Order: sequence, then C-alpha cells, then structure tokens
Amino acid sequence: MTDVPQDTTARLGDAVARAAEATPGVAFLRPDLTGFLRGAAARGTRLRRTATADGEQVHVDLRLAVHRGHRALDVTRAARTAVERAVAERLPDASVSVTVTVTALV
Amino acid sequence: MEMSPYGPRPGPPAGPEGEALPCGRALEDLWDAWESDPAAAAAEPHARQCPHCAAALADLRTLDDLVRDELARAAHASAREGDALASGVTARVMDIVRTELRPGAAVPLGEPEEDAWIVETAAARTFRSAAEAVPGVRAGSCRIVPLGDTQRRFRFPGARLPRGPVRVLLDVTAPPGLERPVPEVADAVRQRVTTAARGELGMDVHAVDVTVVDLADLADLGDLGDTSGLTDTASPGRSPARPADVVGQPPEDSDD
Repeated sequence: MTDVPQDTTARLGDAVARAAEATPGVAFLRPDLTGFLRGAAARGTRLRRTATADGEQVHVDLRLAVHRGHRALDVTRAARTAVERAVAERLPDASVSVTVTVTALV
Repeated sequence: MEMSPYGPRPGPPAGPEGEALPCGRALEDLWDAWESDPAAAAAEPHARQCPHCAAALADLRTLDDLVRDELARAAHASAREGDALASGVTARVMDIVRTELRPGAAVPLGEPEEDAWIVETAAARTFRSAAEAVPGVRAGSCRIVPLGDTQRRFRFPGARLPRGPVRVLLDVTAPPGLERPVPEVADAVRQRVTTAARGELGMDVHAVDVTVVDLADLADLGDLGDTSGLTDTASPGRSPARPADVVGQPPEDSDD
C-alpha cells in the first residue's frame, strides 16, 4: 500500500505542525489537557499518507485553539493554506486535504 | 472486550473514538466517579490496582489543587468585593476542563464544501457571552443543532453535524421588573448571537431560538434566593404554563 519512508513522514508532521502554529490567531495545537491526563503528550496534528494509483494523497487532521479576537473561520482558512503550502514544499506531487477543527477559543 | 489485567473495570467501555485510558476505561467515567466522590473513585478495586487509572486520578488531584490554589488567591484578592471573582475563576477553569473532556459535536464553520469545524462547547460559550452582553440577561443551556433537525442528538465524541446551516437553541433568564418586554429582550439576545456567529466564529446560523424565563415568575415559586439553578434546563421557571418567548428567526444570508 505504501512505500513512504517513515522518517519523512515524521519530518513532514513537524513541518505541518510548525506551519499551523505560526498561523496568526492560532493559540496552540489541540489543547493538551486530555493528553496531560492520559500521561501522553498528543500532537495537534494527525497525518495520513496513502499511495494511490493517481499518486500520493496526504490528509492532515488539524485540531487547534484560536485566540479570541480572531475570527475562527478565518484562522482555520489561514491554517489550512499554511499546511497545504508546507506539504507542497516537501511533496510537490501529492494531493493534500486538510480537516481543521477549532477545539477551543482562548 | 479483553479483560483488564488490573481487575474488572467499572463502567461501560469507551466508544471507539472516546478518550480511553490504556486499560480501556473511559477517562470521562473516571472523571465522573472522581467528581461525585473522590475517595470512593480512588478506593475502587480497579483504580487501586490499575496504574493508568491511578495516574489519571493523580493528575486530576494535581489539577484540583491548582484550582484550589487559584481560588484561594482569587478569594484573597477579592475579599472586599465578595466572591464574584472567585466563582468566576472556578467557572472558567471548570469550563476549560469540561471542554477538554466533553467537547460536544463538531459544528460546521464556513461554506458547505469546506472542511472546517468548531466544537459545540466552544461555540456555545461564545453565544452565552454574546447573550449576556444584553443588560441583566444570564445565559443558560445553549445547543447547536442542524437547522431542520432539532431532535437529532450527536452524543459520541468526535461526532459531526451535517454540513449546512444550523440553529442555536438558547435559554436565558432575565431580571424581574424588566423595563423591556420579553420579546424585545429575546430580539436583543438573538441579534447579539447572530452577530457573534458571523463576526467571531464564521458560522452559518440561520435561526436563533431564544427561550426567556422571567425571574419574576421564579419568585412566585419561592425560589428567588437560589439563582444558580436557574440556568439549568430543569429549572422550576420552565413550567409548561409559562408563556416563555420562543421565537425562531427567518433564514438570512450567510456572510461568506
């Protein structure tokens, strides 16, 4: 199903997280309290790479907290654009889809 | 479902998308047990033996200590101003904790074809604050449902409403001796909520159903002293005979 090297996936995940975190209005990726309570730090992004006949598909599931004073929808759009760009820089031929969920306004 | 090595695990198994501890117990169940009786939750056979539950309980206690410290500080700071600030801190902290553990369904943001969402609790909090900008109004229960399907429930963590316009169901209480008639208060609340949905969130809210419960009626029920219960959906002010003002709003244009 996939011949995608895992170290590239980890680096891609980092790049995606950094791109999202740098987006104006993003307070932090996924409020981490639940991860804290479970004794495990959860990343704010989940990345799924699939190799298909048409090429590689990358899906990013982004969960983030938005600063009050920023319109939530605008922040999700900016974060999506930033993440799409970050993926395209590393995997120019992949098709990218991004789900953005605002988990808190802080 | 496999047996936990740490003795029988109380409560139902966590849903496929729930926040389950490695032992399989739902974090929310543990939280509920702890909330109702911390000592009993820690003494229960499974929790006594299970390192995951024990760790989660220890973390909850840490959190509880932090809240208490913060409360003590706030109480000290606001000694002259009564306990308004202290209860504000509790409310805020508990709000964050509950949002984390019970985020509610994801509600669509933006256009139908977009893949952007906000958890219901975060949106509901925005709408409650918006409503409370109307003088004297206190907001209670707030739910967000698909525009044409108010009865459907989205219980599972991670559940998503269908993409499309939504309806906000909001209960508010208004002070006794209103200077404005109830329908006017409801209109003002609806206006604030609609503006917040558009300006702060970017949510396509097509209707805001506001239920106004007048506190003057609650006085008749001998319950004026306890205003904390008024925001509850089971509040005594919601007798069926009450001519509460429930008004929908006609569909209007989305801004995007």
